[in-house]
Formats: sequence, C-alpha cells, structure tokens
Amino acid sequence: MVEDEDNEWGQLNLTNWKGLSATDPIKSVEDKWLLLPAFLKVKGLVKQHIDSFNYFVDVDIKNIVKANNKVTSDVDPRFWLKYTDINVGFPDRNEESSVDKKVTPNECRLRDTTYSAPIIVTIQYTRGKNIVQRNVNIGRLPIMLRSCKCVLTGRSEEQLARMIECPLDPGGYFVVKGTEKVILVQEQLSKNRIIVETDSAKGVVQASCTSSTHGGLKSKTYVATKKGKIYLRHNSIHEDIPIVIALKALGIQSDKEILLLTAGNTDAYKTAFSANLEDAAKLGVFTRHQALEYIGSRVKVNRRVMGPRRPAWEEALEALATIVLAHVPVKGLDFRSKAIFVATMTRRVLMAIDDEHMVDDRDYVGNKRLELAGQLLALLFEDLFKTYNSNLKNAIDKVLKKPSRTSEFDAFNTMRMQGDHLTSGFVRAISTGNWSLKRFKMERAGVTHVLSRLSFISALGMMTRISSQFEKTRKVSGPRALQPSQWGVLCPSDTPEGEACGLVKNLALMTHITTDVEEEPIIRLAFMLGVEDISLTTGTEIYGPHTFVVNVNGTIIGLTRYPTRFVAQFRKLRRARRFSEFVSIYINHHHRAVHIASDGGRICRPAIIVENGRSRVTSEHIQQLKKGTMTFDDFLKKGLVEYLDVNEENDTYIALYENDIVLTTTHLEIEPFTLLGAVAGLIPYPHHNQSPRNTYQCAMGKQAIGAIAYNQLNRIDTLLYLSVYPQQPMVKTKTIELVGYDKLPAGQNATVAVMSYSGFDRLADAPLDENGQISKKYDIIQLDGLAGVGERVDPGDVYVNKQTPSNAADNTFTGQAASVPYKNTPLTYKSPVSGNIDKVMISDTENDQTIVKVLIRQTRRPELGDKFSSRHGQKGVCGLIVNQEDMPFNDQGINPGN
Amino acid sequence: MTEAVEKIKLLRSSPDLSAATYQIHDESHTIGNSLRWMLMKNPKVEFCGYSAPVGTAFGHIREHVYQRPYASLMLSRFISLHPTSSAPPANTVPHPSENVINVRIQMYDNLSSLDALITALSDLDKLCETVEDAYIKDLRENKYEKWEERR
Amino acid sequence: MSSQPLDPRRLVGVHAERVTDVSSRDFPGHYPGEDHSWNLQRFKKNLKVKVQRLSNHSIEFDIVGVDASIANAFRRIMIAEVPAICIEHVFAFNNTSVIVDEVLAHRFGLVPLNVDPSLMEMRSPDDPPTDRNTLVFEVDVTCERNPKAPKGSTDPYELYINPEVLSSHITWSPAGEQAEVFADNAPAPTNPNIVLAKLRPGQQIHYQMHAVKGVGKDHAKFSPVATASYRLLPHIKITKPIPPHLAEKFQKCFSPGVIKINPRTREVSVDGNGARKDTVSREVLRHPEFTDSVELGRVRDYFLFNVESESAYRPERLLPEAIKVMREKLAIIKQAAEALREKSTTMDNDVVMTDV
Repeated sequence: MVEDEDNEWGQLNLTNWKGLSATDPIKSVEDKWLLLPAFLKVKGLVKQHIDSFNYFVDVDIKNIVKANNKVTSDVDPRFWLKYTDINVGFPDRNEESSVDKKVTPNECRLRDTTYSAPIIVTIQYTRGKNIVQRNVNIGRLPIMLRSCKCVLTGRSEEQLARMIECPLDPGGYFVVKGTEKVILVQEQLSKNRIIVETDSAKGVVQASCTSSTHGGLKSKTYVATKKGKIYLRHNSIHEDIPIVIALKALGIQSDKEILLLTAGNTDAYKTAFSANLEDAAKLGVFTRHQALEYIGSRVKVNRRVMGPRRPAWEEALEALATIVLAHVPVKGLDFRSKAIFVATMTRRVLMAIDDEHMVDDRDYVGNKRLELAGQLLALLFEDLFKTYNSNLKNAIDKVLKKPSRTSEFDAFNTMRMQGDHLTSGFVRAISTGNWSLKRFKMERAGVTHVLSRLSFISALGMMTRISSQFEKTRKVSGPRALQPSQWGVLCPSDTPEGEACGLVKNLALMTHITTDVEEEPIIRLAFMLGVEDISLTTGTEIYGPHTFVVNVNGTIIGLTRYPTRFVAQFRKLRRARRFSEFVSIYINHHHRAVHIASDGGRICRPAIIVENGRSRVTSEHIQQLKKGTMTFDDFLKKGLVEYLDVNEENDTYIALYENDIVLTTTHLEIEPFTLLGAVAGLIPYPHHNQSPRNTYQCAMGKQAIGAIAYNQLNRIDTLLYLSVYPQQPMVKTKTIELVGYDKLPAGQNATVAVMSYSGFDRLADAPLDENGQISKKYDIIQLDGLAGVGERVDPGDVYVNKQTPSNAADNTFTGQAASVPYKNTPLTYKSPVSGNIDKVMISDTENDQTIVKVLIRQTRRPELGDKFSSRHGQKGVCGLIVNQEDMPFNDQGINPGN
Repeated sequence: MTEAVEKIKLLRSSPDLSAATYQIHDESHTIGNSLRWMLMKNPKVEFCGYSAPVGTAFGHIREHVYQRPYASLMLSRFISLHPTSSAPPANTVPHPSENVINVRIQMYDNLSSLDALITALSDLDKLCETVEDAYIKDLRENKYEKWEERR
Repeated sequence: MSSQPLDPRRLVGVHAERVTDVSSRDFPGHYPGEDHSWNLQRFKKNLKVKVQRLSNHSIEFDIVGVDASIANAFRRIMIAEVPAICIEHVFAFNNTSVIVDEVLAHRFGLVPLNVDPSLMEMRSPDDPPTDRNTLVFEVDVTCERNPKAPKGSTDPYELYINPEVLSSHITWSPAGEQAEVFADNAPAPTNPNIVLAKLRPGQQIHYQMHAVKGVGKDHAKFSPVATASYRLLPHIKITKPIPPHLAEKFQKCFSPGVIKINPRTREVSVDGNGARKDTVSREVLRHPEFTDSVELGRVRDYFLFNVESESAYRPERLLPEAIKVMREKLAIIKQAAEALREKSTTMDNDVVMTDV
C-alpha cells in the first residue's frame, strides 16, 4: 500500500520533470542562459568602457572638431585655417630613431611609457593666395586597451601570448607612464530632464533642469515657488523672474494661452496659478517687449570690450536664446518650443503643489546617467583643443603681425611648433586624475584610479565600479539605499562598507551603457508615425483630455492621441532594427507623456520578448546558438530579444521564470542570476546566505591571493601577490566560468573540520635586533652593477649599485663633462625578510633616461596572523598551526587542511 | 641552543617528592597521554595529569633552504626565537614556543612520585614489547588477505 | 564479535544527538572492589593483534585490548617520529624554468626516496655532511626542440626533448662507503613518474641535492606514511525485531554488507563481521519507526588501524618501527628520571627546585 503510494508520487514527479507537466503544453526554453555568454561576447562587463571610448574616437572627436573647425587671424582677414577631418591612428612608439614602430601595452608597462596613438587632423588653409590641404599630427591620445584603436583587439590567444598579454584581461584601461589607469564610471543626475522636488520644511516646490549641449555650456534652470508664487531662476539672471513675465518674454503674450499651457483645464492648477498672472499685471508687464525689458535689466552682462552697448531687451533675448535652457533648440528666434518647455516645468510645479506625490525621485535609476571614459575624454579633448586653437591663433597672429617676412607664411610650420599641449594634457589628466576644465566649470579630482592588480577579480571588479558624483558627506540615506529600480542593472550586493556604502556601486552582469544616438531621425520617425508637431498646437490641445505629449530626450516635440498604438508601432520598428536598439520609449501616465530617449549614459539590459504568453526565443533558437549559427546580434535582429532601459522596464511586465508567464507578460528574464555583478556572481549559493554576508564577500573576494593574469610572471609591478598552487573552485557558479575565474583562480579547496576547541591567547613575540645599523653588502652585485637573477637578497644587500652626479640639481654649464663628481647612491634591500632576485630589466624611457627595474620575490607560507576566508564573507585570522599528528581525523583517516 | 637541555626537569615538588610536576623536554601527547594512563593504573597514584603546548610555535617554522653552490655547505637553519629570559610558571600549559610537556603526579602515603614515574616507564616499555611480539607473531602466521595495490 | 555478548563497559554509546561513555574508566578505585591496577599477565591475556589485509603499499590490522592513549601513541609516532630520508638541501647551479628555486626545492624535498633510514645517521644542524649522514643527488635536465618532431603535433613529448622534469631524473652520486652500503638497493625515488617541473626549449634545471634523515614532526616530508589512522569497531545491537516490511529500509540505513535479511523468515540481523563495515552514520536513528529497536556503539578498546606507507618501509614494518621509537623514547626518559632520582637522593632530600 505504502509502496504504491510512493510509486504514484514518483510517477507524478516524473511527468513534472524539468518544469514540464501534463497541464503545461508550452515547451520550456532550455539553456536560455546561454544568451548570457553570447551577450558577454559583444557587450557588458567592461565593454561599455570600450564602446564609450570607441564612440569618442570614431564619432565624438569629429563632432568636437566640426564645432571648432575654424582658426582665423585678427591681423590678416584673408587668412583662415579649417579642420576638415580628424583621425586617431594606432599606437606606435613615439621615438624618432626607432625602426620598428610597433608597440605593445606590455612594453609600455615595463618601460614606464604611455600607450598612445597620434591624433592626425586634415587641415585646409591659405598659404599666400593658394588654399593648401595637409595632414598634421597635433598630439597623442592615450589608447584604451582592447578598444578599436588597440593592437590587442581581435587577436587570437596565440598572438596575444606573443605580445605578452593575457587573453582574459578585460582591457578598458589606459597605460600612462607605465601605470594602468582606469577612468571609473561616474553616476550623475540625468541632463536635459525636468526634476521636480519639494522641500517640505520651507514649503518650496521646484522644478529644475540641467542643460547640457555640445559646445559645452552647462547651466541649471529652476522654476520654483516663492511665497506662493512661481518664479524662474537662473544663474545668469540676478533676480528671480516671475514665471508669467518669463513666458511672455518667450513669446506667449496672452494670459489665456499662458494659463492653458501651464494649468490646462484643471481647476486646482488654475487657482494655484492665477496669482502669478496678477503679479505680472501688477509689475506692469503685458507685452513681450515689456517682459524682455524687465528681464534684460536683470541679466548679468558678460560684456566684451568691443562692440557697442546693446539695449536691455536684446540682452534678454540673447540670454533666453543661448543661456537659459540651452539644450532646447531655438531656430531663427522661434522660441515656441522653449516657451512650452518652461510652461511644462511650471505645470510640473503646479502638479506637485496640488499632489505631493507628483515629485520625482532623485535616486531612481531611470533619472540617472552614467558618464564613461569616452565622455570625460571628449570634454578634456574639447578643452585642450580649444586652448590649442587659441594658442595657434596667437602664434599665427604673432607671425602675421611682422611687417616683412623672409619667406611665405605657412601655417603648417606654426602648427608643428605648437608643442605637445594635447599630449601632455591627456597624460597629466589621466595620471593625476584631475579633470580641471575651467572652460566647462569642471573641477574634479580622483577621476582615475590605478587599476588594482591584487587579484584578477579585483581588477575586473574595478572595471565595473560606479562612483557617485555627489553627497558623500551628507547624512541622507536615500542615495545609499537599495533602489528597486536597480534590479538587473546594478548589483545589490557589491558595495563597500563604511563611508562609501551605497554610493559606490557595481554594474550587474548583463548591462550595457548606451552611447549617444542621433535624435533627428528619431524625431522624423515620430512625426511619420502620426505625432503632431508641437509648434502647431496650443495649450487647448496639449492638455486636452485624450492627448499625450511626446518627448524626445526631455524636449517636447509633439502630441499624439493614440499613445499605446504609437508606442507599439515605434517598438515594432525598433525590433525590426530600423533604428538603434538602444533607443527607448515608454509612457508616463502620470504626466500623460510618451518619452523617447536616445541619449548616452542610460543603463539598459536585454530581455526576451514575450508575445501572446509565449517566449519569442525557442529551444530551436538556442540550438542554433549552441551550434554557433546564431549570435546575440541575430537575436536582436530577429526581434527575439531587446534592450530595455530602466524607464522602459517600468512599462513592461517581466516574468522571472518561464512558468510565471501570464497573458499580460511582455518580457522574460534571460537568467535571474544576472542581477548580480561579476564579483557577487562568484559566491556559490548566495541565496542561502544572509544578505550582508554576500556584501562582505564582495569586498573580500578581491583580496584572495591566486593567479592574476597569464602574463603575471612577465610583469614588474610595485607589489604583486601570487599563489604557488592556486586551485580552481570545486563548486562553481555559471558566472565563475563566464568571467574566467576558473582559469585564473584565487584560493584553494580546503577540508574543514568543525570542532569545539579552546585556544591559547597569545601575544606576538617579535624578534628584536641588537643594532639598528646594517652595513651595506655588495656580495650579490655582478659586473654590470646589478644583482644577479636568482641571488638571495638579505637586509642591507645592495641590488643596484648606482651613482648619481653630485650636482644633479645644478644646471650651470661647466664645460668639463669629465670632472663632474659622482656620489654613490646604491639601492639597498630594506625588508626584514630576505628575498630573491626574480628579474632584472634594463631599458630606457621615452626621453632616453635609462631605467632599471629589479623584481624581488619573497616566498611565504601561511603563518599565524594570516587572514583566511571562505567564499561567504566568513573571514578569520589564523591563530594556531597544528602539527599533522595533532590534527583530528575521521574513520577514513581524512584530516582537515588541504 | 648551545648547552644541552635536561630531558626531565623538576618544576615544583613537595620535599618528599610525593607531589611533583615534571617537565619533559621534546615530548608531546605521545608520551604524555600514555604515561598519564600508565600512572593512573598505579593504585598509589592519587592524581596524574599532563599538559602540552597548543599548536606550532614560530620556532618550529623552518625554511626550505636552497643555496648557491659557492656558499657554505652548513645550511640547515632554524629560526630560533626562544624567549628564555624568564622561567615559565609551573603547573600551566607550556607556551607554544617551548617544546615540552608538564606531568603532574601526586601520590598517596607520601610515596615518591619519581619512583612511580620510573615504574610506569618500565611498565609502558613492557606493554610495547608485548604488543610488538603479538603483532610479529600474528604477521608470521600469514593469515591475512594479500592484495596488489597499483599506483 | 556479535555472537559473544560484549562487556557493556567496553562500549561507547552513539546516540542521535550525543556520544556517551567516551573515556575509559579502567583505573584503580573507579569500580569499588575491582582490581584495575597494571598487570602484565592480564594485559597479555586480553591483548589481540590481528593483521587483516596487506598490500605492497598499505596494511590494515586490529589491536584489541589497549587504551586509546597507547593506540594513539603508535599512530602519532608513525606520522611524526618514524624517520625517513628526504632531500633537505638544494644547491642551485642553474634554473631557467618558470618555477622559482624555493618552490622547486620544496617539490624536490617532497619526493619519497627508497632509502632505508636505518642505514643512515641523523645529522644535526651543526654536523658536517659525511657519507653516513648525507646522500648526494643530482638533477641536470635541459629541454630542447625535437628535430624529428612530426609536423602539426601539439604533444610536448613529441615536440621537445625533456619537456618535464620527473622524479626519475634524480640521480644518486655515491660518496665514500655508500657504494657498498647501498649496493643492493641504489637510492632513488620510490615513484619515478612524479612531475616536478615543466620545461620548454632552452630551459635548464641543474641542481645538486643533499638528502638527510629526519622525522615528520620536523617537516611533513619526513613522514613515512601517507595516512596512519585508526577507528573503533562499530557495534550494532538490534534490541527489537524489525517488522518484515521495513527490513529493506532498515538494511539501507547501514553501509552495504552490514545487515543481512533472512530470505525465508525476513528476520533482520547483523551479518557476522558486518559491523566492521559500518560507518555509524546514525541514519537509522532518524526514522521514528526504528525508535528503540537498535543501539549503536563502538568498542572503546578495539582499534582498526589503516596505515599507508609512502617511503622505503614496507607497510608491515611501520608498526614495529613505531614501537621501536616509542621504546627508545621511554628508555631515554627513564634514564633521565633515574638520574634525577640519583641526584635527589645524593642531595639528601634537599631538593633544589627551579621554581616553587
């Protein structure tokens, strides 16, 4: 009887095997996680650094040059110089005499040089009466490893081995003066978007918008309440401008239209706004001209010396067109879209006054943008390039000023004399980490960090790290707290403890950070899909009962009456790859708006598309993926998988597992474990751990001693910890294999016995030296003055017998080179523990200075006080080393230990 | 260490040796526990206990020595860190840097603990002899399973 | 064993959550009216030593009737104090391999050698090396490209000559009287196939090595055993008949071969010497249907030794060697104790105390 029952249960279990049951007709997609390795081949982990750098080098740098492409002379109006093109070459050896120009990153690391490539511009300029075209090298740009300009890209493992480079190294960093430097990902509040906040203590509601455009001007515009009335505030205006005056100045003269554009038809908003209309009337501002005069008298005038003084209204017009909300385009003094933008800000303030829930969340990941190496380098380049051009202009002016010249003036020669302004600018910024660009009011320190080579994982973990730009000292918990919108894009476990807790984050395994996508085609497409142009509408339509506003990158472009249909069609076109897969679209029902985003810095992640309750990805697709006949890109092209940014995620219904799919489901998670990052992914069974243990482990996994890279024995770092016998973990996660941790492991598999035991409290007894003075010993020095490889170095041993001129600081010329006195400056070994000479390198740096590197190795065994840990945040300090015979043993004779 | 160390040192005792702590150099649980057992088998022993250091001392850590051929051939080196400045307190667990065990014996009837110790040592020796004889006898009988182990 | 009733005093009780009666209590005065003082004759009578299995590398034997302290002493001595010969000093002439000198020296040190330790003397740190305390070995291996390598091959052994340094590359250089002493068994590693380093063309390892006699407590490489451990004989007592339909389930609670089921009566019993095979996993105690039907235990003075030799010693020689070491130790202590007694009596009861 009992057995029968058992069997029945067994039968039931069999039909339910691997999630299939008789009542479940849908065939599950096995191994859909294989999309993850396919994704990691093209995107993710450190690829965003590389993508961002590639974008800078291929696209952005050209845009910057296009925006600053002309150099003219104040002296000779006939002279002009135009940049027609700019290109970044491949890294080469920056030495005139070298025959073989090819250079590898490892050579740069060893020789303390910079891994950089020449920047070549094509110029057209006037030489006498002719127009000449030439290519000029204007400086050198440090090249990101594994980027499109790097010699390592696309190389096979054998080729990489020949270049002494590790195939598992992720790249994404720079080699500057021999040190590996990472530009950390920076987190910022999104630009060009309206953020509404309230200060309940002061009763202030304000909508702010940080404008950022190419050309670099960054400014913040506020629309805020003050004593119950709404004002426009901007840095370039002395006083807060009543909002109605601002709107009138922007060309909306009628009070009725102002009311419609701001309060619409909602009575509550109308009541709240009416005071503002009265305010403008009281100030006697009725027409646009009056409004402009009002503002003009309050604008901070940044007057150039030249030129006549302009009337106030003209100043106001210029300020409103170019400085206030600079990102909203004003074409031919058509202020319509800017006026609507200001009106929208006002409306958002009114909404927040009426309902305090209508404020935005600063901590919401959808309101954040990530700034990567490419963007930072672009800013730096723009600054350096502008300075370069003004220097060039001054130099040209200086020559042209001379009344008579011996030869015809050739600007090419002047350009070649310009020195290494760009080169040194890049090197200085990256090696110090100080991005001080006065032109853009940017003063940031600590942008770059030395790549931590403590272990393979610490290097990898550094590449996925995100640092927050703001409020490290402020005692607010909001920015530090785990945000629900972090799901799948930022690792919930990997954050440091203490000061930076929650402010420093790490990317999840399956994320991508977007780069800018041109918005004009997107706008055209939106119009084609039936969006009505905003400039043709009035307030009545905009806030009509069935209309939705369509925004592109925060700017209103038009209206639609069928938002759902519009969004569906837009998505269909995206899935058909008619435009970039990284353009996102979503409906915001609170604001009755459709938002399209194509800007860079958004975090997005792929998800499987679900239609009619079925996953678009089927087992057949996975089979093809396994065979290698399909790549991740094919999945995108076929519309099986799409990228969702955090905002668009809010417009979806994502099933975690396939059996969670219901009729309203729109997407399916590729694999749940991708919500963790690369470091947290190394923890086996993290869901069985208490949450903070995973966080501890994330900090600790990076300290594990093991293998660092395949080229670890060819590197000469200041400090390198290697394990003699590293072991790959017996219990592996999928992430371990994807990241390559099984190929460069850290740690050993240990047998652990759990026993109760009482320890011996002990103090460390340190050996004392009798005398502090240690005499120098030259025993191990060979004929060349350097210690021999393999020699043992004891404290006090000289390993480089160096001499320096005693007057090194003195630059006076004596004329007698031979009589320069030298003094002995030998390098002595100082560590109390003896070591061995592992490697000796002699080379020279870029400026022909001889460089000698001596690598000294110490072989160590575990000793009392060494730290040991499991992979679950359980660390401990070794307090007892037990002899083999004192070890506990079990029936099989197995001991703890390894 | 230059001077030879005493194998057994009397740490603390009553004048008639009826209660004493002996420190045995260079021994561990191996001798300590079996000696304790054998002493306890003596009806005249009131109390017997021993203590051994816990864990390995720094002084036990040794290097794997390798050296250039032209250097001296006398190379085996121990890092010796014995802080021998002050005598250790008796009746406690020896510090891990000391390679000793302490054996405490207390006797009934004011008998000498040293005598009991010596008797126990010779009894242990006989025990060992007995086990060895029995083992060799059984081995000679050849009544065991033989098998070939491949490595 | 299971046929004869066992003295319950010899049992360690193994219960679901705890273990009882761990320590031995066979001391005088513990049981009133019983004599538990040391008696060699009685010990001889109770002692049973039986070799169970023997192979070329390992031995299993039982020692019955001794205290755990004695059995443990033998185990500990086998691990830590039975001497063996190992490479101790390495003199590097050349090493261009990827393995650094310290690590490679360590690896050479761990190679087990076939030298009988009784043929050599201990060498203290201050002793000069002599032919009685030091064996000299040499290894000189250079890797080269194989000119006759088949095209397209990826096998290092086809592509190169000497791609690996093996323990068989260690050669012995006799000194002094060693050639005669070790005439019948030339010193060499016990296993010729241990990979010590990998080489690629152009790399060379040239070391001279000195092997000395040492003990495991000094360094684990001198330990002559791979494992030396014992366990106590498991004891299973079925106190209540097991219902026939639960017989298989009951059987599965133990290691295979421990419980037998009578095919006819379906009666459950311990299979002869089967208890030996059990792991005392206590699985049976987890099932409520078997509550109070079985008592688990181990016999406190019944030691099942398992010793694996990894040295010059044949496995059956290890226990006698251990006992020899034990007896030497006892003799030294006894000598010292007698000297101490001598001193204290001559001093006429005026004992000088180091610390009172």
